[in-house]
Amino acid sequence: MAWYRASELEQLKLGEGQAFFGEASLAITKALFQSGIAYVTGYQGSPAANLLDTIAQAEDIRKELGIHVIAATSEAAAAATLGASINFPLRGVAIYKATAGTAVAADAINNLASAGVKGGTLIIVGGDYGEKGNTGQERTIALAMKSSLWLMEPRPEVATLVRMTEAAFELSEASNAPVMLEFRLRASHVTGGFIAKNNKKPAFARDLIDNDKSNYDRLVLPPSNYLHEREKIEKRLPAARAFIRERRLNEVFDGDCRDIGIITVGGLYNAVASGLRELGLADVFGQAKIPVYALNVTWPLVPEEIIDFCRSKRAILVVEESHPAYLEQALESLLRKAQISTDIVGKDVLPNAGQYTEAVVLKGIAKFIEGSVPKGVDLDDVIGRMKKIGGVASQPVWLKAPLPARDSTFCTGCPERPVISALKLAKREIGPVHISSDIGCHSFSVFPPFNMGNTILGYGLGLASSAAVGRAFGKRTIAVMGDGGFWHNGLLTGVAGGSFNDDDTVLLVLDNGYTASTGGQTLPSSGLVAPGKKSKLSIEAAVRALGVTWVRTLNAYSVATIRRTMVEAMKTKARGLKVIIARGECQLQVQQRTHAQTRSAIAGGERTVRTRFGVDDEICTGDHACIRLSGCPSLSVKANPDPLKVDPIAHVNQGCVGCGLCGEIAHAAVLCPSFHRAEIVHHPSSIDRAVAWLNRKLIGLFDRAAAEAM
Amino acid sequence: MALPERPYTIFICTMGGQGGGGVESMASLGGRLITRWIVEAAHTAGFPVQSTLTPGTAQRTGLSYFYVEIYPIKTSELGGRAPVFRLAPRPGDVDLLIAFELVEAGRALAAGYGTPDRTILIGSTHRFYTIAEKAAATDGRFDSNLILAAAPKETKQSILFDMAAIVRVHGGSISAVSLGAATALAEFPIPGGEVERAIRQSGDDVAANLAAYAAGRNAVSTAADPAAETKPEPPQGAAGIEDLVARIEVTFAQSCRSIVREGTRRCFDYQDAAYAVQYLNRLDPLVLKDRSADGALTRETARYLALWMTYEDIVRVADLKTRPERLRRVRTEARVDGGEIVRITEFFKPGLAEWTAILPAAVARLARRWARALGIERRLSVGLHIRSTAPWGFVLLWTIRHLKRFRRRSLGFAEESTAIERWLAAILLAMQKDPGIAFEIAECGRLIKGYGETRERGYANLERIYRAAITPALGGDLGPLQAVAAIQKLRVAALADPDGDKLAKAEADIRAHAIRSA
Repeated sequence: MAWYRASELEQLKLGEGQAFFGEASLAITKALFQSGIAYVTGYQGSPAANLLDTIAQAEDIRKELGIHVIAATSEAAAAATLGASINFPLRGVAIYKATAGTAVAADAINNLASAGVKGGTLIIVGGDYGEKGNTGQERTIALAMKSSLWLMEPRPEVATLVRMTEAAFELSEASNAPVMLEFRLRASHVTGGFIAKNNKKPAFARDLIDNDKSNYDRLVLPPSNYLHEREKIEKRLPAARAFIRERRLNEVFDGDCRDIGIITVGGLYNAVASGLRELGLADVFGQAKIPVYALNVTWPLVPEEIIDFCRSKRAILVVEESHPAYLEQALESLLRKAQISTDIVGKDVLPNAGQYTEAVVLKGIAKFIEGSVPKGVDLDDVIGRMKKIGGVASQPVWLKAPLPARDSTFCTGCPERPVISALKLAKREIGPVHISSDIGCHSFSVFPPFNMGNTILGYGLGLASSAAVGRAFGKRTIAVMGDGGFWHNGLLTGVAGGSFNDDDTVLLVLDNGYTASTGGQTLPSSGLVAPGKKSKLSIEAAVRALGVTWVRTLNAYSVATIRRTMVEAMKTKARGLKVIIARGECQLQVQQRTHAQTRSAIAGGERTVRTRFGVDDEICTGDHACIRLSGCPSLSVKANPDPLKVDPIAHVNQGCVGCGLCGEIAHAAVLCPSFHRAEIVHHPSSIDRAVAWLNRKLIGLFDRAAAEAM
Repeated sequence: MALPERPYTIFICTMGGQGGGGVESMASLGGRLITRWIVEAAHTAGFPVQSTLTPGTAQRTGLSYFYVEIYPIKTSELGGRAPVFRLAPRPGDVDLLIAFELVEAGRALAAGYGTPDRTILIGSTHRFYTIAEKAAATDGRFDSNLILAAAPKETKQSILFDMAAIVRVHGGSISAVSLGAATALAEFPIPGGEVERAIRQSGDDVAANLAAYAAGRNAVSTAADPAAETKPEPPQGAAGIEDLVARIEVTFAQSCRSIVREGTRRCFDYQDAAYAVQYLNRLDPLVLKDRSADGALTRETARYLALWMTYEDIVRVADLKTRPERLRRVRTEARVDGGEIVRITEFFKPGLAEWTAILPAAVARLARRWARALGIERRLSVGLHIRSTAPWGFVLLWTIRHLKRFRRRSLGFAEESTAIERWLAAILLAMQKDPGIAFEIAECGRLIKGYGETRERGYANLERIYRAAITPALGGDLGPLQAVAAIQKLRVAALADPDGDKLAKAEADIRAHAIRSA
């Protein structure tokens, strides 16, 4: 999906000294092109998918620079690809979502971090703790600490992000360790500018690679791994610290106040600076009274820098989200060993759990200032300002009823919605059933109006996570998986495992042709669903090859058929894994391909047929059973025009794409006859007109008024 | 020169798919366009600016938030210094709050993003209902008045108008409408000309968005105080029931007349004049005894009696589907402006119950017995796609519509009449005991609606309420106060939850209470 306009992508070609202005993801892409990378790989996931898509779109630049792109099938594959930089001085990048991605890739990352690298190796992880993260309480820093690779989370300002991305490669090369560069959701979309450099071709000499022999000490096997451990501690860590110091990757924003200071992870710097401003302790340009030390490199810490910053101060506030407070603990230990008695304040004034929003950071700083009573700070002024700012009332008095939640749901016309509707209908016949959900758009089945799904264990793990349930539950279970999850690992962890163990389970694969929830990236089986894609690996063939014999591939929009097949799968005497593949192309992609065409065809006078559904006002009784089975954004309600009726009636809004689900549901659920489908023929041909004329004449014989209204 | 202490902050609350308007907006994030335009305009004008957003899974639906900070002094005058901007708004520190939908405006206000000394709210009053609001079996819509009343108090200035309506007229996007309104504010730091240029240069559906932008700009000066929608009054016309109007005037209190008139008209339209008379006859005994203050009992009974007597059988559906005004409305909703041909396909899936309901009672009973004996009840419901704009389809519906004359002899009619009489008798009996009970029984008429499974469920629920509360109340086993509370509780539970769990719980509560009192 094109996130950036063509004019924005043009900025990726900027040369030395030219000004760039745009979003961080685009800027980081430019930084990669300026760094002479030889290869790039990754796996889509918010917000990293944005970066991958941008690189994919910039095909001409990539070709010109000779950058090799590998579409990995999972984060594990992407991380393993970085193995190219172990023996060869190639700069490479893997891009994916933290912390789900780092967890999937952990095996490869551990080994990569053990062997060490020659070429600058960067793992860009999008998102981390907090906002919109799937596993919001996880943090990448734990992986960095245990596996000795470095973690950077630069302060979210575009020029800094670019500078740090470029420096990350050098840090990696200087210390022979892979570096993780993390940016959070908002940071990935933050706008700003920087002065560009020329793009660089990958700088490596062919003969260097040809002459490099395989050497055993780079293999993660004994005894080399003991060597790696010593290298990590004795060589790579000191080298990294030296580089970070020399190149001033961490930043000190000095202030007049000598006796206290704040240490913050780079990603939270802006919240700290704005908090200080609101308390009258900094100006709008970040010039603060209280010195701030921003860790653009969150791991490893640089003891000399920390000691320098803390030595003369009575108290330091550490701004680091979540639990355990790794940095706070590390600082305590570091300062005590250096016999510096500075107070470390962190979770005392900031919460252990929960996002450090602007308000939370502001409140924490105010508490810290109040408690530490720094010299030269007008405490009354700070307290007065904080009092004026106040807190947020938890429940405003005017809100007499809770506001309705607006959960995410399937798009209008989505091919997954009918399958979930069919499942809801099938449940009426098969009774309560354990449903193992998965990651993907179909996760929305857990929200109203479906409310179906008992567990979500990870991407592609839907089937594997149901393995022990069936027997305990005393009934077959249903696992739901998307085509994305299927190829990511569901094929092996789920289908091979289920087949191997002779699991008597039902697997429902929603095959929409893309990893749709991350923005519609292509996957191995895309070509069988979406027109014009080369990748044609078949899910059905793969499943059959793994010994599954009960396989049904169905049209995702046939609610009645899917319902019947689900019931059959649950009730059949046939034992073993039963797989239902519901196929229908992602409607978002269909619309992107066809909507503009349809519009221009209509504008250009071409014969075009458009379909939409409607509900008859007089016939709808306002029970909304259709909505409870569909939940389509285009199927809404409106005030009942009938003065006798109280309840609002169903109504199809202008967003309808005519997918047909309304009709299917009306039939499959024996709902009500108020639905109709209207086919609108724009610029009808003479045959169309003749048929319509004849129809009207014939109908007019029975009812002239009705014929005239057609 | 004293520089401003803080940036100008703009918080934009939107839903997925609101960005560009039209179908392509499914893919675009809610406020992407407005955010881009603001940032590009500010940047071109030389102001330091920064935006961020949170799409997450709200790429298509759900919520998406955008946040912009602008420092209102040009970069060239700052001597190389750059402001440090926030990445997220702080409640209480928002200058301009833009909401693309009314409940989203309410959500932002509830979270404290509006402050009376600082915030100007620009919000659309239209509603895009949430699933929970839509899926309720009755009326689950949030009370818009709560937000409309709170907005002026929670902000310095609140500018609320229907932006969706403007988009319907001009095309373009809510992004453009709300940005137009923003630039009309004296406080907005970027000149309107600069914003217009940004829209023009973006290439985003430029003509339509500029029109929407201009309309939004005008709306600020012309926006009237928004009011929540009100229930339409029944039409005053009395075509076909002229003879009965006088009778209604004489018999019914002022507060009931419009509903009774509409009910009478509806029964006439449904069947014939005799049926309209029967409707009034059924209400007569109530009127004499109704001692409720405003005739509420009569009015509500009249409402549900009319709806019940005009239950939608296949004949009624065929009748309504073939009416000229309905056919015209389908064309209007399809937004056709003349030359297009519209073909309509109706979705029918009458089951055994629906088919037999229009047969003569004796035949119908026999048919049902056979079907049950053969075990083919379910299989008899066949999905039909009827092309009502084609001769065969129309004639089929036309034929069914003309079965109206046999309706009185049908099984469905007999069954509905029996149920209606039972309900009316219960109301009348209750009136002798306690008007409160009678009113609650009358309100139970709301349970009977819909077709197929929905109607069956309504009947089953009503039966359960008869058994659990109405019959005991009429038999004197339940005191008036308890009876009113019990019927009300059961009815609300039955309407609130189509799966019947809440009703079952309410029944259990009432049983438990009865045992305790005994």
